[in-house]
Amino acid sequence: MRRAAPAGPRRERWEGDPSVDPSRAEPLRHELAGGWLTGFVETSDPTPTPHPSEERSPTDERSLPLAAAFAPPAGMSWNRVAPALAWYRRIVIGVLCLAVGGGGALLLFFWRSWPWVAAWAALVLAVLVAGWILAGLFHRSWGYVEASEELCLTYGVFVRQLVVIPYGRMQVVDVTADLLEQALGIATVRVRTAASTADTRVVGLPLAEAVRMRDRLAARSESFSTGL
Amino acid sequence: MGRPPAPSPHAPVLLPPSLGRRPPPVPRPGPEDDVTTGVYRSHWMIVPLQVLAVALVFVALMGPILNTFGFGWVMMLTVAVAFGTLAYVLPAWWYGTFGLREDHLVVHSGLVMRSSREVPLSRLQAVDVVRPLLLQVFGMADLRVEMAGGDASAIRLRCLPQGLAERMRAAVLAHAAGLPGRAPEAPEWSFYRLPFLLLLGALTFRVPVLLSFILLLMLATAGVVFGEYGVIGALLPLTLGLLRYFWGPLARYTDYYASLSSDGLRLRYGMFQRRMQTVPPGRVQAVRVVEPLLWRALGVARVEANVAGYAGARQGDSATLLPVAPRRRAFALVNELFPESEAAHVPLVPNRSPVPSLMGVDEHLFISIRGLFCLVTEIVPVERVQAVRLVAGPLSRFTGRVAVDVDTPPGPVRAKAPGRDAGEARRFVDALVEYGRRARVPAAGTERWETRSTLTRRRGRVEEPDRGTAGPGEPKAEKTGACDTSDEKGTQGAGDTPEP
Repeated sequence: MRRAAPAGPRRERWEGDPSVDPSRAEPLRHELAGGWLTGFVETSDPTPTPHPSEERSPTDERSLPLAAAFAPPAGMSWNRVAPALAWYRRIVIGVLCLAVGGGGALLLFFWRSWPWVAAWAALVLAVLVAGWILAGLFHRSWGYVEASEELCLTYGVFVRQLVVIPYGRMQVVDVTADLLEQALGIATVRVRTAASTADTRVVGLPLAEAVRMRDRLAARSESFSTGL
Repeated sequence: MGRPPAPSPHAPVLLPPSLGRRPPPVPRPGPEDDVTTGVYRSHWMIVPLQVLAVALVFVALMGPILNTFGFGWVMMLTVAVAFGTLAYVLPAWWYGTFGLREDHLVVHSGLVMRSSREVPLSRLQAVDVVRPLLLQVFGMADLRVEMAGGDASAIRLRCLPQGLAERMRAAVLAHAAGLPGRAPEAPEWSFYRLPFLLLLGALTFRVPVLLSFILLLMLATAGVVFGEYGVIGALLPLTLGLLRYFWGPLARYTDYYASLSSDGLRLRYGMFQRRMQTVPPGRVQAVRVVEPLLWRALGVARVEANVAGYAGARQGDSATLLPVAPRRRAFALVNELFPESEAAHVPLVPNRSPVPSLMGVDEHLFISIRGLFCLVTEIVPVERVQAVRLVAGPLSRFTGRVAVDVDTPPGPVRAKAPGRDAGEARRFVDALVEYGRRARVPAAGTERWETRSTLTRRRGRVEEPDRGTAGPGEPKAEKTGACDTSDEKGTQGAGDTPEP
């Protein structure tokens, strides 16, 4: 897995990056109080830097035809999303397991005996560990590329998908961030087309990058617009 | 049956072939028929009808209770309720107006909550005139203007006088086409008339319907012979199912007539509820040709389409373009809906999974043919594809097979090609994206189709000399012969070249 650099110097790089216009992103970031957990949780590089393919181990990637089918468009590489996404899932799963496990253990303690509580705890712990590992896998499965005329996404652990959405087909682009996402300093860019079946979103982007991506996508959907 | 010439408003006078019944000629619009200015409202008849309905309901519900106080009370309260209803219905009718302002349709409605909607007609997706039996008796009709925004965005103008509904439909379509609203209705060419016997036979000749009939008869016989009344419990769902899947389509599609015009496809059908649908050109997002098992023996098929306006409940009402038609006609309709493309010329590739299916992409169309018993041919023009996705399920890791899904606006067509080899599927996705890129020129929108030069039709097409033989360069499906669409249409290659 690709490790992100420490948070401090990277922050400076966002602001110092000439390709980035922080003036539009900045108010929203303040408004949403972006990232009081960012010191705790590592965040990835927000600028979509092209990412050498040999960083992912070549044995499991290039040899399988399935992996080749999910390769990025020619001459490009997947932009990976922030590791905060994995932490987001882990926190959700952890809180759920704590609530369900604690409540269940209390009930079992009063109605049954200690062995039941121990079995229940083991079960919840197993779910927690599985969820923990899956969160990491899911985070690593995510990738997006803004190609010349379409947005390409790939995601999924059990059901792996590659989605190609032409810019001209985008009807609505919006950025959402729930409370936990705001705390982690990430946001979701959701793209809607006229096909209601398409659940097309990019999760786990740093907020500023999400805002910039929304602006880019909105501008391109305007310039490539061809009606319905 | 000759193939109708391509509809074109600018072509030299082409006398349409006189096939079957022609609709009555639309009278030349006089000054009193001009609906492009002025304010209109529903038929005045709905005011007394609504008052009568409320009064009748009141009497039916409260009458038995009030009758204990005497007949006079019933009369007095009924009259009071009738006048109360009138006091609401009359102003609601008077203030519920609509009219055309330039190429916008303005609709005012509501009495307590006034609402006023203004709809740009260049964005309309379809126009339907619906006449249920009750409205036919009083000479009224509903006009529905479908927009792309789903169920809530459609405009329903209820209970119009029939003449007004027809003229308003013509004006709305003229505005949508980019013409002035006074333009006369575009001429039409007969495309297909469904004989009642074919409809009846095709609806009967289906496996579920036949099985239900046999089961129904067996159960009824058993019930009568053994005097066992428990069979009624099984008869009821069977009868309901037959009503839904046999009687429903039979009544709905009786007297079905399809015609083509420069305003798009016009459909007229219905026994008790007459409907007239107009789907303008370029509004059809995807099409599927469905051939159930026994219909393949008859050589007939059904054509359904995704139209962005037909969302929600209206999807089942309006999405079927041809209920029953010979395969040849069905694929001819597909070619008419997507001009400049030939479904038969798309090279099809069979897959290597146990369930046979075919898939093909060329610069105009994406085609997927699948289904073991009920053969479904899904056709999506590449410039209408909303998103392409490559899906690998949990088993794909072992089988190496993935599916290609093509997202379209919601409707009966869910275009997908399952069970493809991973590398091949990826090449298809790349080809689809590349062809879509070329097809989506920014000027290729579908608004105001009469005044645009980009939405061309095959004008120079000639009647093919021999329809039985396949055209040149036909693809041959290697695996499933039944899936082969190539013998459907043999159009000469000159027909495919778009006009400059």
